[in-house]
Amino acid sequence: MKVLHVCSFYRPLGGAEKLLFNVLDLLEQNGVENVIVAPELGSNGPTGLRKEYFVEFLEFPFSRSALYATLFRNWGLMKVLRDILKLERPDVIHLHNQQNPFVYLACLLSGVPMVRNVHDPRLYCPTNWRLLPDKSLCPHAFGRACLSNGCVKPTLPDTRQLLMTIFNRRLSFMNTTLIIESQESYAMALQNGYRAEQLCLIPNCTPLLPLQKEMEAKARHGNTGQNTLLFVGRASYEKGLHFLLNALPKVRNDFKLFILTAGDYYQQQIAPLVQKLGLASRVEVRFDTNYQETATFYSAADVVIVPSIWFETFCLIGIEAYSHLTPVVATRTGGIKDWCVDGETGFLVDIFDEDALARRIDDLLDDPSMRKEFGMNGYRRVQELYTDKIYFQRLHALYEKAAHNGKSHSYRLPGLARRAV
Amino acid sequence: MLKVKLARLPEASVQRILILRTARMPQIQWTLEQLHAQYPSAGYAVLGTQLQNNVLFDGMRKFEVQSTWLKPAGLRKFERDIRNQHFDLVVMVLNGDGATGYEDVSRIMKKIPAQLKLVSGYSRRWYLWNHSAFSSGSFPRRWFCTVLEYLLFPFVHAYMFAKSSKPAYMPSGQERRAPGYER
Repeated sequence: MKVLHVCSFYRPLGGAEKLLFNVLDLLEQNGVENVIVAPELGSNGPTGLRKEYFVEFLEFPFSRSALYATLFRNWGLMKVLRDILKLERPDVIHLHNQQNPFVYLACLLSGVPMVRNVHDPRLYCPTNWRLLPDKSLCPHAFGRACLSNGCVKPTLPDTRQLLMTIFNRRLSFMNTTLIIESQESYAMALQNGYRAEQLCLIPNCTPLLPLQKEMEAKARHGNTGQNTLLFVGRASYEKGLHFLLNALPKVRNDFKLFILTAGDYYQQQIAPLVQKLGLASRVEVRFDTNYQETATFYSAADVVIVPSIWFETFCLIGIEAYSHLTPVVATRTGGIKDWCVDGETGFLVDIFDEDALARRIDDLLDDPSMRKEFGMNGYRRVQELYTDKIYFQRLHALYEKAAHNGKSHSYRLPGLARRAV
Repeated sequence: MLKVKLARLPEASVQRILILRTARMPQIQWTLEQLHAQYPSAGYAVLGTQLQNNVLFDGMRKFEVQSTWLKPAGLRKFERDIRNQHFDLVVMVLNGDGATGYEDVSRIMKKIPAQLKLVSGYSRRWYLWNHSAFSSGSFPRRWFCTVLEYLLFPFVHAYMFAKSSKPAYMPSGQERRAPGYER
């Protein structure tokens, strides 16, 4: 079987990219041929591991571009994609973290069945994160509430973005199976008009080392002589660092918080807040740590904190922490509720409840035996539900089904499918 | 496309440099290091968004734009001031090596007088700036599309207004309002 992967980022970046590289390795180990289409960026270099095509761009800045530039440049991109598809003739196209409707259209015109990862609500939310202007969670489906709540303003850039969201959303109903990562994400897809038969729930996975090895690593790295808290991820608002930092002064125990992050957000938004809250001596930030270093931090941490304040579609951080025997305190939102069992593998707190977050951190810091028990429970949960072996079986079954049924689905696009390569 | 690639930064008498902050920090940092090495005595200024709380811009004259993106309208407030500075070199920094999405920034480059205008690409490359690399199409075509865009917009909003946002979805424990953290 040959799968063509279209991805906007083809380098270690966030959880979605980590999953992508895990999946590519898994597929290749099991005899699936992968072909990559990624943007031509300095950081998206060829790996030499598989066939790779680099095109000028995949994500297009629609809100900043006039209609002419949008049409002209994306028309060129569609022609390039058409040629690649004609040459490669994949059985399935897999779209990863890809939001350009013209890319979608080029893939649809090929008639090849598609599967698409849904890592966030961008298919049906013009703000990307399903947050209202005051940054509370949005309960509404895609529609007039986007206007009445002020998420889309009657300005040129907002309307351009909205137009592309409508276009992208319409296309996503055609000849595509959506890979949904969590039950809440599934419910929100149904709320937004997707049919159950188009959705496939495949939770994310993480590689898992044998328990003995993980216990040794935990013993080796875990004796830091201080209470170590860990946050991993973007420092952007929806990931909840503001919430966590505002809760930290309420924590009774002494602690050191390590923040592993990347990008400009930290310097611009978080560093001033750390100073303001008087946490400078208790917070240490590391930028652009690689996956290996991050694994060491997971082993060394006493508690991993996932304070997200949006509908997390899954959040890989949690199961990564569990795979290193570390318990998690997380917010009760989105896919987090699937992997975090309150009182068994960690604690769940309501979003923006600073007192509860501080209390639960203290509960775990006070009781080393509880941390150990929760960490072990977490490891077992990953072993049962989130290993790469389980993921591969589900994904491969989906590819087989899509490749088998895909052609019969093209009746939904009679005019377009006839022009298939 | 950007055609004139430079092997290294030009040797010229450069005393005043203006950077357009239009890429992520690692790229800006690399650009500044290159410029410092080539023009050690030059003074720097920066134009763009989110310039505060950033050590990279310490000691520079800051022209901070408050809107989300750097656009020609954002330049208006500083235009006279920038002209009076008589910059020798203006640099725009890209997030990729393609020109896609930088048309507005290129318009700003066009408006700022300087003897040398350069582009710093993502994969550690320097190019000579030219506006045609960033804009495409003849004037009538662009004009036609712009008119079409304005005509289309009421229909986009009408479509959204006609579309119901029901049913609502909000599990318990997630309905708390945001407390208004500083952003």
